[in-house]
Amino acid sequence: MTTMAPGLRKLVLTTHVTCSVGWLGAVGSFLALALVGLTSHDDQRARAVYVAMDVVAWFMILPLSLASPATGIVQSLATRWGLFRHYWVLIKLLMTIPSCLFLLVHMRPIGHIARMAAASTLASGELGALRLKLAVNAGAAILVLLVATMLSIYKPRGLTRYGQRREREVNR
Amino acid sequence: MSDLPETKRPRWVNVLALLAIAFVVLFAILHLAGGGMGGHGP
Repeated sequence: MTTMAPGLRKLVLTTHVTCSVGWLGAVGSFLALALVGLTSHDDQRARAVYVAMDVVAWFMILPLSLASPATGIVQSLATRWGLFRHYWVLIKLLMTIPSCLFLLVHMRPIGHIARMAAASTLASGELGALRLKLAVNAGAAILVLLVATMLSIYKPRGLTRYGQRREREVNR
Repeated sequence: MSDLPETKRPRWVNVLALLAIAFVVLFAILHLAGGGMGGHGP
């Protein structure tokens, strides 16, 4: 393990925290828009929010969702925490990678509904199932990201078997 | 920083794992069964 210089470590940590919390905020915005789109009786407003959701997804959620685990991996590998030594780090990784993949799969339906909305062909009540799904998925994503945030702050104790093995090697 | 006896997994990990499995199963059921959420669009 190569330990990062303190200044660089703080820079990477700042980047990681900014991207991670930004991701959470962006999904929160997406959820708010999705709920408006789902419940609004104003067709114009509903169309506007789905166009906005597409923008938020492409320009905020997607880049932040990629940057967050990337900076997290860099940071973990270059600090004493490691990537597989502590359960809280490992679990965060196991949560965020599938979340990124899940997001990539859902970019297409987000774009589809946004294109319909932009072409003013989206009527009230149309694509109700997809509208509901976008809101539910955003809510689920918020939950996952909140758990990841809590793990980052609380850092609950627990070394994995690999971590315990490495610990024994260091203490030998 | 040796936290626990060798190979013993913390209880919070087991609890979180169970919750995660329940979450994924529920989500999968909702998606597969429809539940008003349909598919991924065209």
